[in-house]
Amino acid sequence: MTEKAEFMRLPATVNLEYKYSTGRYLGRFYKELRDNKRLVANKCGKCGRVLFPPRIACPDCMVRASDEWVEVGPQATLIFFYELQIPGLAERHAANYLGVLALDGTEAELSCFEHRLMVDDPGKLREGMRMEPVFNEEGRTGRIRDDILGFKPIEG
Amino acid sequence: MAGRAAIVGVGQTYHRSKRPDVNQIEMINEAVRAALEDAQLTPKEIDCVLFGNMEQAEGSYLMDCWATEGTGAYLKEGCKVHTGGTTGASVAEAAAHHAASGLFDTVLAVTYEKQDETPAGMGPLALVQDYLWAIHTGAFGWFARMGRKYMLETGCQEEHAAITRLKSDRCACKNPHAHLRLNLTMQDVLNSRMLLYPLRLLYMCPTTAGACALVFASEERAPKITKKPVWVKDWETVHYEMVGYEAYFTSRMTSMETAANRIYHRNGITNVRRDIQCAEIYEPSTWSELQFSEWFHFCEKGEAWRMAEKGVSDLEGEFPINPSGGVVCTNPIGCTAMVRVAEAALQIRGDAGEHQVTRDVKRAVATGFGGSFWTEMLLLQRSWD
Repeated sequence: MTEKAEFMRLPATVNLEYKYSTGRYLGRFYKELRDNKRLVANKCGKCGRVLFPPRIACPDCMVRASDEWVEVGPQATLIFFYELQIPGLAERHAANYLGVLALDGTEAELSCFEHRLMVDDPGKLREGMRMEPVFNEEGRTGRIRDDILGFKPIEG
Repeated sequence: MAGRAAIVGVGQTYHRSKRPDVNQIEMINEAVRAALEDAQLTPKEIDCVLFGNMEQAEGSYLMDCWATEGTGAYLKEGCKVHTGGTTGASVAEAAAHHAASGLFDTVLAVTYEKQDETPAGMGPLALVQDYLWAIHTGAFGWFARMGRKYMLETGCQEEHAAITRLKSDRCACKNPHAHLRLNLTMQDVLNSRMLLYPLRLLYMCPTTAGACALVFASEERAPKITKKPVWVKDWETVHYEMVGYEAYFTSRMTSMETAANRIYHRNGITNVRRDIQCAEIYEPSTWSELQFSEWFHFCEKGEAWRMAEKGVSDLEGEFPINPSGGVVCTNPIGCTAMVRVAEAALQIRGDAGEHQVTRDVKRAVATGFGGSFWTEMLLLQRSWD
């Protein structure tokens, strides 16, 4: 082999569509969100832990959860936030800032989640600040990512 | 486990950002040939082949089947093990299980990632999420938060992260297999691009193409294959619930503390830096090296940055951490945790070459870290007792 090798790179694109079942418990959460703009969680009948997101069994006790439902939030505490400076991330998440939030009535360490932050002045973002959801008012489909547009600081 | 297992062969590629000169299977084969040569074994003498990579990272399922020609698994027993970031350690632990079980005399463990072929962070890592639930950005947020919390709680300044990063670079520059060998200065580190305060580009692990292979043998076979078997004395796997927000909180016991406590307790390790001589930990960012060192009890709480400042974790130090340069210098994801095991084994054998630590390493730990804060920890020893 005296000829200089040419290292070729051949492109490929994977484009797939999936459909995921919510099940009974997460389904109820999404139905409440979609139809009533209410955020709900269920509870473990054994240890009493609020299960958010709602699910069929308590991961600590490994028993089937009770059918006791509680309303959580909609106000939340901001635990951490960051600016999406990494190329492509802001476009993918349709936001410049994301935050880790804990809804009132949930145990932060076990139930916090990430969502978009809607702020006029990012300089005012502080860990521990109180926030509330901005609901999508048209065509909610049952999905926390879409039916809540983001969280904004509670004024005053 | 009634039986014992030892590592009798170590092989890895020269990790680089791009390997256009080989395809995936050829790159895997480089590591396999290196491990077989190190063990002085032929493919026929391997009973079982275990394989792993970051699921879907290269866009294909069943890579254990596609890669048979590269791994040498043709007509042999074996399977694929994949656990995300911890895959390399999981495959090593599974191989130790297989060799110690008495069912197989020799087990080949193979892992790889060819990140130059994937859309890297924007591709496979974007798939690490629960589609039913909220937005999930993963690693960058975690490690930035970890750094910020660490600074607030311990008094650590950014320069201590920079000192730690320079230590990694000095080690990597002595390790020809390492990917990023940059001869950095303090200014280079402090001027590198801020991804997310206080996480700079140089504090984050790179995207690497590379493969690693280890040969494990049973108690009877190991001493016949090599004069320097590295015994896999103990191992531990600890999972965490759901998405793992350990980076944001500290009140719950972390998976890392749990793994370390169990390993140390079972093996009578009471003074970690005395009883263990070297650690190869999976530190996905420089900030993680500081935080994880405390969770693994390499020092007291809040002391890791002082340890770095005093040079304790240097190659020549009292307790070398990641003498290979670690994950911030080399990160072929599904293979990364196996490189930790491989490098720890080389330190025990005394075969690490220029990055061999000053201290005589009779015992070392290697760890894996993965999504949702899984932890794996292996205890390796020069002699069983």
